[in-house]
Amino acid sequence: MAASKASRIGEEIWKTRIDKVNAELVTLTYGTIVAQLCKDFEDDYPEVNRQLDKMGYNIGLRLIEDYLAKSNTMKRCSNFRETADMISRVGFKIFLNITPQVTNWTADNNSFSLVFDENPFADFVELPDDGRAQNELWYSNILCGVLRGALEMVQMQVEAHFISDVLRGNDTTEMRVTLIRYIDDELPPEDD
Amino acid sequence: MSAAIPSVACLGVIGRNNNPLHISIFPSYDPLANAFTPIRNPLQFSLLLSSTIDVFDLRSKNSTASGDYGLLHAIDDRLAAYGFETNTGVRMVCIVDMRGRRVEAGGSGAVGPSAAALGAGGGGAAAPSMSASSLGAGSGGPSSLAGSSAAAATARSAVGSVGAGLRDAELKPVFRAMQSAYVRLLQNPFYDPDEHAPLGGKGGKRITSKKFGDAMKRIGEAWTPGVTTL
Amino acid sequence: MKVASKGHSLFRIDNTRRVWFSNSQDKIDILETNSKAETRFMVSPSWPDTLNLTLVSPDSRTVFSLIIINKAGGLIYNKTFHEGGLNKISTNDYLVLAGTFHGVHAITARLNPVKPVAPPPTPGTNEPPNRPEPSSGLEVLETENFRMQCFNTLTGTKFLLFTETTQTNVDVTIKRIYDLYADYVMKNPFYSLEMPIRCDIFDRKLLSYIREINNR
Repeated sequence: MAASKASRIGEEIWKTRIDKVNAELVTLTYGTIVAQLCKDFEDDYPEVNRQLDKMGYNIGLRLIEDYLAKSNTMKRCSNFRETADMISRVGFKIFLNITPQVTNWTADNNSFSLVFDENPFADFVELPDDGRAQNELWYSNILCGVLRGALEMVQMQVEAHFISDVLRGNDTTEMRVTLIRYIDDELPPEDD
Repeated sequence: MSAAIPSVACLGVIGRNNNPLHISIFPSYDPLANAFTPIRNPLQFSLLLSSTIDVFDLRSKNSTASGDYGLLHAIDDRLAAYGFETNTGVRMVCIVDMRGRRVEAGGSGAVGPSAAALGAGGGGAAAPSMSASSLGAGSGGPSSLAGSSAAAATARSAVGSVGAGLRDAELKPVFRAMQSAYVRLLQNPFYDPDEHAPLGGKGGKRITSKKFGDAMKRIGEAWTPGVTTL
Repeated sequence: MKVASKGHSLFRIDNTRRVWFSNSQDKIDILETNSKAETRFMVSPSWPDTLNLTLVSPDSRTVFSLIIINKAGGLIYNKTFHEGGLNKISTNDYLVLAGTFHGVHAITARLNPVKPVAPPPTPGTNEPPNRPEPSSGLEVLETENFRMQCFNTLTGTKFLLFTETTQTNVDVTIKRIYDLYADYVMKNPFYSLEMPIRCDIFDRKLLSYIREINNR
């Protein structure tokens, strides 16, 4: 499917089928979750990242059905490039009203970057200045988990992680997504 | 020929436990040295802010609906403190130096201080619960605190002699900008308001947010009489 | 079971018995649809004037029941909307039906004529490797009395909708049910994935939606 068509679909669904909610509510809710995790795990940021990823994974497993139902997707993407476009232009569009750029493809077309020009989760946020959060905490790490969970449900095993974040003082917020394999319907080995 | 116009000398935020949350100090123009230096040292500014607490308490008893208290008291012929209180009990104070900035006569605009404003809480002169009455004992305290209404009159006449009088409304944009900076601060999930003013308790931590400090610095440097948005 | 062909007509005698005119018009079956065992007797074409027949018109469309099968072949939801449409079978039989259908579906997907395999990307060009569209497998099963449509989502969950053979727009109905499932099952934080669905709101929304169709 052409990227422009994906954009049109995303726009259409966003306008007609999505219940909107106050952005501050979302931002504050997510912020509270992250801050509470930091408290609960006593500022063990790698562990907070893991927890966020896990929460996202569980969201992804469920959210994919909503995505498929809302977008009326009947065919699976014919290749990973199409998948990337659909993630950005339909998925992120309908759930967060953003379309991160899809760039930095590797030559084998199995790995790409999502560059977030805006990130509704991170509005107003300043990372704790304890000298470690800036280097260890990936504030929006829940998104990696969401992608991992959602794609796993449509038979794609992927690995996703952030490689930069404006909250840390980087110029961009960039997530790296890599296809590990297609989980094709594996039939149990035949008894011969 | 140059004339002096008012500028912000100090911005302070006071928590609901009468604890200092933030202090920004801005240098004033010193015609003798032809340079920008703070008109008081950090400890003196801290004491000046403490002295406003009593005025806030007094005014809040016959409370105005808006929380904008306007001129709290005039400190001497140059300095005057203006105040604003939010519904949650956070007080914002703006100390104005009536001759803090120089304008070239016929020139296009004010010459702002090129040096960076002093950092928040510089000098570490924390005097969390010091009230105005104890201020007289402070070694660096300004001399003319008694009879604030008389001083206010002096200040007003002084202002009148150097330029346009400063109406309370002139400070409105400052407080509006400070309040929205404070709201943005509260929206940061890692800022825990309880840490900064424990309920029923005493004291509280200062604001360490760089964003908030930058916002205060911008407000303090940008304001001149007549500015409507900050 | 006899796979129905187009052009037949169906009459209702009463709630339990229906008359079936087959295509060739040379025989009539009377089906006892509510009895445990399906009895079928042949009658001569001259016989019907002693019967009070009501045409089951194309207007009276009925959704009989819905079954949802998870991707492992387990029955996770089963709801009957219309009494008398289908015979009752035991819960165990429903489980077997779900499991069996799941297997049959998988095999029919492999039965599908092999699609031409996309040529492998020419080395050197930047064409991404293609992922072929999977074959759909069994989609519709038609019998004399009901039509079963299967909707297999991309995640492998199957929705089986049993309707009257004359039912139209089953696709739309199933899509709407999928919407309800996505909203009220998947978004219920207390629903564990792949487990039997016990969500009150889903039940209510589903019932009111199906009632709307059945009463049209």
